[in-house]
Amino acid sequence: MEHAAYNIDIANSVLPAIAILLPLLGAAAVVLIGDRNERLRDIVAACFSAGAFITCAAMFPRVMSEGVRLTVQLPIFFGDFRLTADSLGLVFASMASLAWMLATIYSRNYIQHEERRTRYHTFSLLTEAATLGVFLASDFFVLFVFFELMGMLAYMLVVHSQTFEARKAGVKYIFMTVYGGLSLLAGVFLFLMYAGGLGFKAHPGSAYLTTSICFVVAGFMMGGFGVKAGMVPLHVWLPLAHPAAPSPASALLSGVMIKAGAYGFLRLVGTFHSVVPAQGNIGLIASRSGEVEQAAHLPVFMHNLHSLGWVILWFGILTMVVGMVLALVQNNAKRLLAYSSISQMGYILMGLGLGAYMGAEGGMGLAGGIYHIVNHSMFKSLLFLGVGAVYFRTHRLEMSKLGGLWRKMPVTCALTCIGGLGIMGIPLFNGFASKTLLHHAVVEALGVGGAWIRAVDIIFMVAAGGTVCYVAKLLILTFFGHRREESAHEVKEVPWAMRLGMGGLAAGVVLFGVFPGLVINKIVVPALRPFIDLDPQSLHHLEEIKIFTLANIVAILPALAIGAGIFLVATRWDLFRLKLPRGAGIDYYYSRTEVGFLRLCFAGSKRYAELRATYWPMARSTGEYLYDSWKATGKRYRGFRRVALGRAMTIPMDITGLAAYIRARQFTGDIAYGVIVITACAALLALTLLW
Amino acid sequence: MSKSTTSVLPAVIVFMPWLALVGAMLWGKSRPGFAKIVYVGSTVATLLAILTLYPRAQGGVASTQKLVGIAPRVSLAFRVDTVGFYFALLLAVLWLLCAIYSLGYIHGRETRYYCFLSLNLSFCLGVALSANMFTLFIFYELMTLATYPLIIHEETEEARRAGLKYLIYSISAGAVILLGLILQFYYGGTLSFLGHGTLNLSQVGKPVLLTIFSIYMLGFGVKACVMPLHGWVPDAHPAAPAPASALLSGVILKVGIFGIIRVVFEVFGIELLHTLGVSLPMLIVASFTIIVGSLFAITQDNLKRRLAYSSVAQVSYIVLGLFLLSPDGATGGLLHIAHHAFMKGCLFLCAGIIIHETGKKNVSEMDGIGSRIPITMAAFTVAALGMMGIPLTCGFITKWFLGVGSIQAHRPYFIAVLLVSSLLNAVYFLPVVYVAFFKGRSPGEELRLSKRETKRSMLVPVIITGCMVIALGVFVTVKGFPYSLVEVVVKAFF
Repeated sequence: MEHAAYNIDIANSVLPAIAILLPLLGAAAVVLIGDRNERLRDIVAACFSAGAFITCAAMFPRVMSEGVRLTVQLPIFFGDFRLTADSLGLVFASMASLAWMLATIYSRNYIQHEERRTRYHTFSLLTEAATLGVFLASDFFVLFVFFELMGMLAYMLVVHSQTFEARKAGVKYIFMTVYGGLSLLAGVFLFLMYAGGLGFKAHPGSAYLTTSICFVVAGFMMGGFGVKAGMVPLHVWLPLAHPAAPSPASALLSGVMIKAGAYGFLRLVGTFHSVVPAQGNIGLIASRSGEVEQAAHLPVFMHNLHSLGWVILWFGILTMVVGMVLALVQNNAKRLLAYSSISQMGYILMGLGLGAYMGAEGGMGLAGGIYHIVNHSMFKSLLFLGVGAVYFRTHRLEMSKLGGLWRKMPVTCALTCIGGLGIMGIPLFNGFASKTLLHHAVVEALGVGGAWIRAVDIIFMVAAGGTVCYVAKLLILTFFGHRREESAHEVKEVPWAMRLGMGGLAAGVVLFGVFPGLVINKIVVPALRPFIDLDPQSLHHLEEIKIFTLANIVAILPALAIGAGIFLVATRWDLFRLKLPRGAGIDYYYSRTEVGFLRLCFAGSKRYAELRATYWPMARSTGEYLYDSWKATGKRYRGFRRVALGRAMTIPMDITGLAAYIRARQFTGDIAYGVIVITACAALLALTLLW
Repeated sequence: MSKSTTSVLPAVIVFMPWLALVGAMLWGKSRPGFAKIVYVGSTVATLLAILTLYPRAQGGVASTQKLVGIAPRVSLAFRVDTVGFYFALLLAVLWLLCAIYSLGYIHGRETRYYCFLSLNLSFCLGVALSANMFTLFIFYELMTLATYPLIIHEETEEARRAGLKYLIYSISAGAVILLGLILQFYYGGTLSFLGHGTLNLSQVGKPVLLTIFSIYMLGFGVKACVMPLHGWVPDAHPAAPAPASALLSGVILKVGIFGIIRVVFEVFGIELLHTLGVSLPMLIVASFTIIVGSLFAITQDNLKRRLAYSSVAQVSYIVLGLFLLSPDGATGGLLHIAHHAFMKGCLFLCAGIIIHETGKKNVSEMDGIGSRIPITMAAFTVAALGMMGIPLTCGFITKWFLGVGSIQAHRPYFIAVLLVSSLLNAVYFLPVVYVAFFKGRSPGEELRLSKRETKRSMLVPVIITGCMVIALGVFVTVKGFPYSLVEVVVKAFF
């Protein structure tokens, strides 16, 4: 029931299935090889994850350039379980499989100092399969299945070390995942109910598109995707779980898996792009500037999309600011990066929010968001791997105890700095291009949103400044300056496999930074294809955009200045060690609620036991009294009959009477209870009948 | 819908498990080893005999066999329709697994145990293959009695008390059902199952119909442990030996549900229930049971007691699905009969292995047992995830159908019940998995995969049920799996 224009080029191909199958087979192979031959096992794991990447790359030309959607039906579930590689999903899948391949190569050495290496590789590959499944899903059902699986499997990566911190993080992680999964499931059910199907397109004319019920549906879906995306206030698991995992797994959690949340948001926005309006693509700018006279005829779903975009936008802003502020005050390098991930997800959500807010003219915001997703997966994975390399040699993550490592680990230092420059948004590194697009999107929205969007512009700039500051803090405290504490371990450059893993990502950071035009034309704009309502003109404008202009470069200067300012001020007055009161974090209240709920359960059951202890004997004694009086009459009666029937009758009767008496005395409470229940039911019934 | 063929097979199947009694008489004392083979063999034979009915049941053809005429229009008779076949097949499969498991688990009083196990199978099959309400009632009552020796098998004081409580609950329920039976016969004129409702509104009137309905629900609700009639369940399960609790929870509770199914589809019929407006009250009762049962489960430290409360909650999923009175809701409910049987069966069998191998009954004592019995705990994990309704397990399929069913019935708020229940399931199942695998093990200790973590006869059923949980959740549409049968049932009744 999808729109025809989106359905034109669809071809059967087994490649999407192979992309998921390869990591699964890899996991099986890893289990079979086990600890007997560690070298072979690591090579096999790397090969299978590379195979998944190659499969995705093989789909790339047909899907991206020719605009074909490759689809395959799997014989599981209800027989309509389809995997489909469309341009948007494939960008994510390729990004994921690339990062996974490099992280797996990296983990070959890294994981040596961890226990249970086979388990790590197995679950890493299984999680890869589930993650690719999310990105290659053909409808919300398939997406939900893989989304939930990904969340569950990643638990094993989070708790891998099984230290106290890891287990604590794991508990938080698993419950947030379960909660998110249920919220998403509720959203999917409601989507099915109101949109008339499970595909990523709503049925034209369905309640979903014509009424405001879509906000309920979208709210539940956002609850699900938001947990994974680390959207404030659902981010609480992220700063615990990402640092607790082994570094390559943190890189994947932060670099790839939280993108599944962003991908969900994209698909959610895409559901509104289901009907091409009859009079062509009316955007907000066009309708306000009077180009189209019937501005009031802007379809309802576009109004809804507009409002939804507004909500996503402000959640994004909140996420961005909270993540940035908390990243600034961290001392643990991986925790800093985890908060940084939250903040960067805020950028992405802001981009997607703007894209939705602008309706048909939202190409810029969506493009900025997608570009930033791809970029973030590279530089954040790279930074996590870099910090992991430091940990590998020094066994330390506290930045206050590191420093001066650039002499001992020059390659690691250089590669990590590339990642740092990327996230800062320095020209020639990839962050610059995506942040420029996001900034353009904000500027475009100024014409519609007025003062609110101006505020967004300022907050965006400050957040960019904060980003510069915390990355500078990370790099300077870790790699530069002097060594603050000698490590017991010998510190030297990391092995080649780890350097290869980081190098691959660094190359990506640079390539995507140097050739932004190519990336936009070949990857980002094709990825917008599922958004069928986008104005072709604005897409054309996007294709023509110049990134390296003086205006764009000047635009980042305030951010750099703010960053440098914060850094100097914070170093001068030692603000980096600021501790926030625990009541300031939303997590505190979540924990209180959880504990409160459990307490309530136990208190309830205790109270129930007390009630039972009070009233049970009462019921029992009443029952016993009744029984005794009955028995007394019975005795008299039997005594009367004894004359007539003789002893032959009385002996069995006494025995049974005695047995029944002992038993029944014990259970009079239960009997009384049963009588009460039956009476109550009968009373209810009578009430129903009378009524 | 169905053409009726006469066949002696249903009656033969019902009495086939009695072969075990013959075995017990001949070899119970002299050659106990061989007798055990006979016990399991009789279950296998029953399963095979049921499988021969598959082609007929698939087509919706019923075979009838009038055994004894009791009175005019009342007789003992058997027939096979799709829902009966589905239930019979499930019974036989689960019984076989539990019988195999019992070989390793049961020590002492084996002859008595196996005899009543087989008798119980026979009576349950009688319920499943009954052709009218009268036969169903007779076998239902017999099954009630035959379950008692299984519950008190260990003959501890606790088991005796639980057993008596069970008897009091069940026998009073039986009396209530008999009352319903009489009323139905008086007002409806027939007790036979005809594939549609036999009572009708114009002849009987609403008050009487409501009364009959309530009486049936009260009667069958005790076995189906709908709150507040669940009192015997949390006592009986922990007292019984593990394979018996697996059967109790997996199948015997479902016999009550099966009674409700017959009442819904064959006594009243969907349309009549719609007219009577009983759907909403029943849904509320089921939702209450689901939520409150789960809340009770959270506070239990004894693992089997926790599982018992979980059963109370989960069995009401089926009631919920049935009384949504929508095709997908009924599909979900009917599927959950099998799904829950395998999941809860697996969990109880695992709990049995835990008790047998480590002697631990309470969750708070189970730190690190995952390294001692890894395969068992892995199966436990799979089944626990199934209870939570994680995709790729059969619990998810149930949840999906129930969700879609409540949308079909235009009652989307019951989705909230499902989701909250899933969350509560996570709250009481995940800690077990967590303490078993992740807590209380020194970091240096690797999984100790000892060659034999427990007896093979106990491990194999656990592995099979664990695999079935996943197989039923992934390969839903395979022929012979619950969905293919349930599809036929639902098509026939809606």
